[in-house]
Amino acid sequence: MKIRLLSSIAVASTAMAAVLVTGVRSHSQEQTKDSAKPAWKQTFTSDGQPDLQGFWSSNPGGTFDITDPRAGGGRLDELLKVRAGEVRVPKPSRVVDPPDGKIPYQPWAAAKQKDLEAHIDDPTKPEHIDTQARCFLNGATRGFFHTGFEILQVPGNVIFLWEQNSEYRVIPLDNSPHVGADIKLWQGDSRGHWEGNTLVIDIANLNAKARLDMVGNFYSDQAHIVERLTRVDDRTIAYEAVITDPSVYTRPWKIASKFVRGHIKDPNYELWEDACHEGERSADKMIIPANVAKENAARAKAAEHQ
Amino acid sequence: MHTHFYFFRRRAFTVFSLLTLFAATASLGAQSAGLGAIPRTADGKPDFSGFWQVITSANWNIQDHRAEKGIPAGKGIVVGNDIPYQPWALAKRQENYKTRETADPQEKSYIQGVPRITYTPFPFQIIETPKEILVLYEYVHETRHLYRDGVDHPPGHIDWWLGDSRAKWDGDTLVVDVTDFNDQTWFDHAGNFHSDALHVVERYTLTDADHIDYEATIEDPKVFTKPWKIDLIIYRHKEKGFQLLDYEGYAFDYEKYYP
Repeated sequence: MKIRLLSSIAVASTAMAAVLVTGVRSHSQEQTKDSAKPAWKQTFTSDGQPDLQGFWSSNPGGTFDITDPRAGGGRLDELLKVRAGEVRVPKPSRVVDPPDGKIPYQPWAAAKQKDLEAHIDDPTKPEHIDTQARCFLNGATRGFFHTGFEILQVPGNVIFLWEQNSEYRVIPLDNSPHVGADIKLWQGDSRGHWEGNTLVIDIANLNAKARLDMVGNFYSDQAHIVERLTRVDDRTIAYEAVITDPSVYTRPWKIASKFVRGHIKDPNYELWEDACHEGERSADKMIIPANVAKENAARAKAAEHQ
Repeated sequence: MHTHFYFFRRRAFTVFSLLTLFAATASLGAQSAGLGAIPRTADGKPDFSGFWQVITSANWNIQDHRAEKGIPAGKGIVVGNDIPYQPWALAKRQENYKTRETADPQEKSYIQGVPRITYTPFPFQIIETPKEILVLYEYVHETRHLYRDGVDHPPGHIDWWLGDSRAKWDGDTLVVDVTDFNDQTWFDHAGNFHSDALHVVERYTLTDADHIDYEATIEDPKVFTKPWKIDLIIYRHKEKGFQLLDYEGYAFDYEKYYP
């Protein structure tokens, strides 16, 4: 049996080689390409979970603005280019529902976000300083857009690991209920289950002290988030999150993004220590007294005119 | 902070006393039935997966100590109780003790080094994969990757809070070699300290399904005259539905600004 199988493989390869040498060029090239890259098929871990393991990062990345995705780091460069007359073409909003790409805030919440956004560069109160600048944990969803991350799977758990700030999330797959409502957590309380090849994560118990991005988009501690991760091919995971929070928004809304494989050429890449708070010395120094005085004076003047 | 940790410890202690009693009873039964084996992974290695925590007051003082307000008395975890300090280092340790209420890095919720993170009185979760043993701590979301892929420490000295951990098996004992520390962490609240030449070799051995015998050899030629050892037991959390929560100590003072 074994011998027969081997010999038939030999026959097949010889035939293929013959085609390659003598055959119709373009056709045979396509054929080899197809046979070298068979269609991607979902593989499974030893305990039967669809395998999502490896290093991933969001494309596009960056947590500057969830409705205008880019990293905060390159923003000065970008402002200079715009000032020099370059037209910036924004990437599509991560918000895919509502279709206008905007977060469906209630009026008070929209005003709060606008105030935070107006103070990004000149914070005048401690709360104007982005939570990331204070080394707080990323909370829900933001971590995926911040930096690359690793997914590990062991029986009963999916684990997300970030090198940045040594963040981690453990997602139990045991169908257990969420922790009691009085427990509030930076990353919320996650419970996962598989729907076909999609990992569905239900997040509750968020302390809501972290924000969604640098421009102050936020949810409250009443938020309920459902994330869905589906591997669509060897190098891509489709990500979705539906955020429901009747105390802040007028309706549930949805984020979508894709995660692409990282460190492909270095599968033994190791996550190394990244201490954040231990070296953080400057967040409160972002509040410049002169700016606070200017704002107070402007407010007093506005009050006079009323 | 003392009070908070203390209450945590008390609650844990009561639970654990009961657990230990049950465990003792269970292991008697198991022995008579010829069982009592330790859990193992598919490849036959001891399986440390689960939730763990210590029951010791070593976080306040790794040596024998009497009670103070909010701090329980305790027998030390240092084998033989003495730490072989060089004379200058002993003087520094005494200075640290005097200023401990502010100088202890734990007061600033900084990352605890090794081995202190092991006996910081918070739970931790071990995840075992073929590539690494991952240790996730509730205390300020510290993460340790105990790599066991045969790769050695990276070249050069690197200043890390938790050092660089490389693990291998010695029979059923997991041996973790840890180097590349900074000189910023303490061994306890009492001011016992080290330099960046610290080298720790940890040995994790499951003595049954629910207990890890933890031994660490501590070497630092800049501070000590010879290597010394600590020895303690790590207990498995067996409460139904137990899970890690969070303790982001450095964020408490700012929480009011982020309602």
